[in-house]
Amino acid sequence: MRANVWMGKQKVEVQHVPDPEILNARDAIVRITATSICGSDLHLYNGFMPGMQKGDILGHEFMGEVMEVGRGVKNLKPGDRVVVPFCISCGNCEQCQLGMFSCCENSNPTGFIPEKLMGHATCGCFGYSHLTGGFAGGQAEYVRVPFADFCPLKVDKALSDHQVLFLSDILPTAYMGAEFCEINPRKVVAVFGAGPVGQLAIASAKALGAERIIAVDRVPYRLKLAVEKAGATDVINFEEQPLQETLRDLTAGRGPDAIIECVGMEATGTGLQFAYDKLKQASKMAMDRPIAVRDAIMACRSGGTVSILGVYAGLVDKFPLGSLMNRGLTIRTGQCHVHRYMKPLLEKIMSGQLDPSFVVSHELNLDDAPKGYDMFMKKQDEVMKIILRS
Amino acid sequence: MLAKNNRGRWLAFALGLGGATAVGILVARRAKRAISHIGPVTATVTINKPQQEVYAFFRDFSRLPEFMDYLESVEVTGERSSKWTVKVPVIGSVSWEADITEDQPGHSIAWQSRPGSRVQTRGVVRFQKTPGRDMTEVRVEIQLGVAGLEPTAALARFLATPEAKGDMRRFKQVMETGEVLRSDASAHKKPHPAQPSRDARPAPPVFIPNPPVAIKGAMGVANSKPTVDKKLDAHEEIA
Repeated sequence: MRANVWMGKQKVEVQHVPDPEILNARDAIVRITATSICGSDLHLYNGFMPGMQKGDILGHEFMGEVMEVGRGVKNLKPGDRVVVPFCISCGNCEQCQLGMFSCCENSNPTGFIPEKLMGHATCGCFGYSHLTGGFAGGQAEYVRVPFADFCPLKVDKALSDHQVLFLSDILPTAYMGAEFCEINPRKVVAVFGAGPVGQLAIASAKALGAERIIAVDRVPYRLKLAVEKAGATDVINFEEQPLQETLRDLTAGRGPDAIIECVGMEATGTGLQFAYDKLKQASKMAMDRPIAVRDAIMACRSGGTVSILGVYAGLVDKFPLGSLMNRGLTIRTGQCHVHRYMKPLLEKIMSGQLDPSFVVSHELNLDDAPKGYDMFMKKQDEVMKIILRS
Repeated sequence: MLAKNNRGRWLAFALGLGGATAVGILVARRAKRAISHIGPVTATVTINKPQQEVYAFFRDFSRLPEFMDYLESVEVTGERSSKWTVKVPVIGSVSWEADITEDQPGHSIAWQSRPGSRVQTRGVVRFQKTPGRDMTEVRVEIQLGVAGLEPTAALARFLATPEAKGDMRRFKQVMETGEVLRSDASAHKKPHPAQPSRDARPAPPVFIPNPPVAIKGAMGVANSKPTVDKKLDAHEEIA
């Protein structure tokens, strides 16, 4: 089969690789009908995520048709149309029983690697380095899905790919980030980063009842989409306006009651701080540039909530712990517990309350995946979300 | 980078065990020195199953190779006796016989290789109920005896610890999910990129069906009503 393979920093190639086979009784083989490039794939592409190997198949947001199931899978059959969560969860461990699916204790066979870096193992994820299990991803013609009796969500053929594909990752991620903020109409919500997750976080905040939503980014077409389609009421381009002052202005000195950070380890900023983080990251003294988290903590109203959705890998410094502690902020974060949100969000899609399809900007053939990565990284052609089809 | 270390460790473990065995035989023959036991290799894990069930699975030693990667087989030869076989690169297989020295059903099992065996080993596994929940805390201690050679013994201990931890991770997988989970990378003993390959090791053929808990978020067809529409409280006790 063809698959989009990581070959080094800013180098991905579509290669011919062996077809996946059933390795475990609870596996299924899925023929991919639609997959996408996620903003977090850019961290792998740009070489900032540790634990990558040449030849790793990328992609963790995908849907398709079941081709074959292992002998332990009774609820799926060939021909079923499924959306697959990016995080792999067993459904048997205590974390899964508690609904903390992205903390699954059984799905990461290479868990000894994150144990060293993070203290404890993470769950397994598709196409996301050997820190998360070393599972082949979905930017391919076929993929092997472990725990297929538990993870995939069957979807009706009446719904379009664009409507349901994002149940795999960015829609539940964004929704969870908004849910963390315990939104009500009184609360002013700011969303840092107006990429695909940011757009859907704005839409989720709106669906949860926020009346005032401030979108923050530096790319004009993203801010435009945030207002026109997602539901932002105000925008801040932090390269043109001073972020902290403008946020204080917009909230008459209070600061946003909640901030959803949808940026991650490759944040851009301005001034000396940005130069410092860039140098540190480039010289391998740090894995992350935590600029957006620092800014969010400083900007958030006292007693407010900072919801961190961006991906981070290692240790950070110049962290405003004093501000966090003295002003009684709450930090909520985590890889999304996708399984918890898939069905309820599917309901919202079916009833028309949410429609994530507005983030799709491009459809490319799988063969053009390298072009897609380059375009997404450089923010060319007003790119927002790229769908790949084989 | 990290995976390379793992390969190195595996190789070193194999060489260490092989070398230690060879040296051990030599030294034992020549000096007939007493076998000295080095400090235990320890590993722990929490398993989401009742104590009695976890104990019963472990008590049948013939099932240990299902999750202990380096064991070729354990043959149960009597009520308390068993024959263990380990794969060692270059040398081939090494076997020894062991006896259960202590057996407290539901609580602990201790075993020891017979005097004069080529590999001297002694182990104990303890099972304890987790506070407030019907889960089991498993603690295993394994001693590797290598005929009186301290540095080699220390090496064996250093090298065997990650193996023992991996054993416990896989033990948990078998007990909870029914089998050892393979990824495209972990289906190979050497580092392998996350892509399918024709020589991937499938999981051991044993599969114990263990239906996942009916979690309300995920399963089912699109038209059925979601059973939970509120967020799950992570601290809620599961009935």
